[in-house]
Amino acid sequence: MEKSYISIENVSKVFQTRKHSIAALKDISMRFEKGEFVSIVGPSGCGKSTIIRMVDDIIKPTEGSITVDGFTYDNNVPLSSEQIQKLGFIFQIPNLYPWFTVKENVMLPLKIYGKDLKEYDERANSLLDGVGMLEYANAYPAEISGGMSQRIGVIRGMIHSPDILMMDEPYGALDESTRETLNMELLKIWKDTGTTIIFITHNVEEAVLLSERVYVMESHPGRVIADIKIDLGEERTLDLIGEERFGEYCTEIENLIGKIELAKIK
Amino acid sequence: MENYALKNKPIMRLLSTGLPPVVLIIILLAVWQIACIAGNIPKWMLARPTDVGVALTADFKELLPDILSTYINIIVGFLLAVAIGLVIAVLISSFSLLSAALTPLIIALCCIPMVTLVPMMMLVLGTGPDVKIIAIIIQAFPLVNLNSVVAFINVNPERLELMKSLKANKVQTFTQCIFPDGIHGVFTGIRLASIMAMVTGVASEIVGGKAGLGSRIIYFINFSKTADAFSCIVYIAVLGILIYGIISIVERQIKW
Repeated sequence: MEKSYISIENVSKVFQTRKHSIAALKDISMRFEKGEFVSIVGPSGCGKSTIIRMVDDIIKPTEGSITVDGFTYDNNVPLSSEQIQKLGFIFQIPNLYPWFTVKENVMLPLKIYGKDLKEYDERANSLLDGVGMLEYANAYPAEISGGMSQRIGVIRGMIHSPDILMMDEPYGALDESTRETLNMELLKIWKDTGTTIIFITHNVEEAVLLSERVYVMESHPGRVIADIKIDLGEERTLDLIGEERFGEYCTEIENLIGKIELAKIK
Repeated sequence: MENYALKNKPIMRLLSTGLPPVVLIIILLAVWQIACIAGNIPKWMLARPTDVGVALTADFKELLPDILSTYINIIVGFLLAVAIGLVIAVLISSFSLLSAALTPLIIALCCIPMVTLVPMMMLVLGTGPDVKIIAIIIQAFPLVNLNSVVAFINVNPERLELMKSLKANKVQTFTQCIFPDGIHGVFTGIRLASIMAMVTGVASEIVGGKAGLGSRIIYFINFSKTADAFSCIVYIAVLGILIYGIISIVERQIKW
């Protein structure tokens, strides 16, 4: 069978503590095509974040294989510079370094990749401007608000124009209005750049609004229970939220997650 | 609003932070002076602050070589202790085998009062400044080292995860994340080491030095010149305050 752009095959992950083994993921398989926007939803502890951390090669799977753009991760072979720069990761918390200014934080991936920072100065300014933060470029993280920090965390993940963007509930701590604005901004970036996006969220409406497909997961151990194609057309705006089809998708996913929660209570 | 503006003026800041300790010291000196006079305590037993003040200026020229000797030994020993402590901390936090081998030894060094070893070291190395500098280094570097290692090992895991995500190498991870994250722990070690360097430096001179303020204190006490002995203590305190102040000023430059 031909492999997708990103293939996760029969992956399990067990975390070892001093006394216990915790099975975070059990035999999951997922695929992501180039340029796709896919969300992963599910209850807390279902291993959503673990999946993208494995794709980003931050942690290794206990079993199974992960292939990204034809390269199957191997514990003994580190990713090449080219492969590393294909990946972009946006954390749940902004994770800005307080010893760097806003702009230095945005440029940090380029510094690590050994790029000439001057060449990227214009891009950094453009991204900062895009999220309304250009005037705070020389401020330190302690001098800006939580929402502003989150925006910086988002553009830091994009500064090197990655082919694959993994987003771990990036807007979880933001207010509704900022979240909607940034979601629309993200859609625009996705359409303009053709980046493959794997988006982790708790928010079902957000997943349906943004994604072409949604993976629904259950927990203890984490497993994929549904792969739902969201057929709402290419033009995604906030107006979609009022439409019947949008509501049906949300209900379908919420019912799936609800069944999991109910089963847990029983 | 006006009050707030006034408080932010440098002169007002200086008065609000600098004045209280100065006033307290003046009060303590006054109590000391009055107690000496009221209790009719002989000057050879306990010098009066005014006598110490006179000795400070009168003895300065005579004490200058000793002041320089003590200051140079302590500063050189302290700076070397900071450098050695930091380098070993970087190695220990990077290589677990080295940590297992070195940590018990460093803790042991920290616990042995170096003053007890100085006479034995003098048998081998003589009574020159190198013995005192070595004693200071051995006693002070473990404090920089242990505090730095704890700071480096306990780096914020989320900040470290960003480095893992970017696939930063060991040097990049240390310079961009671990070191700045643990800088305040390093400064705690440096601060403690400065105190230890002062104590060890002067104690080494008391135990077996021919030069330096420590040996002069013993000399003056032997001749019941307590005012002169106190003037030596004041010169030692000045160095201690200077080093501590410089460390504080440097640490204040860190914005996080």
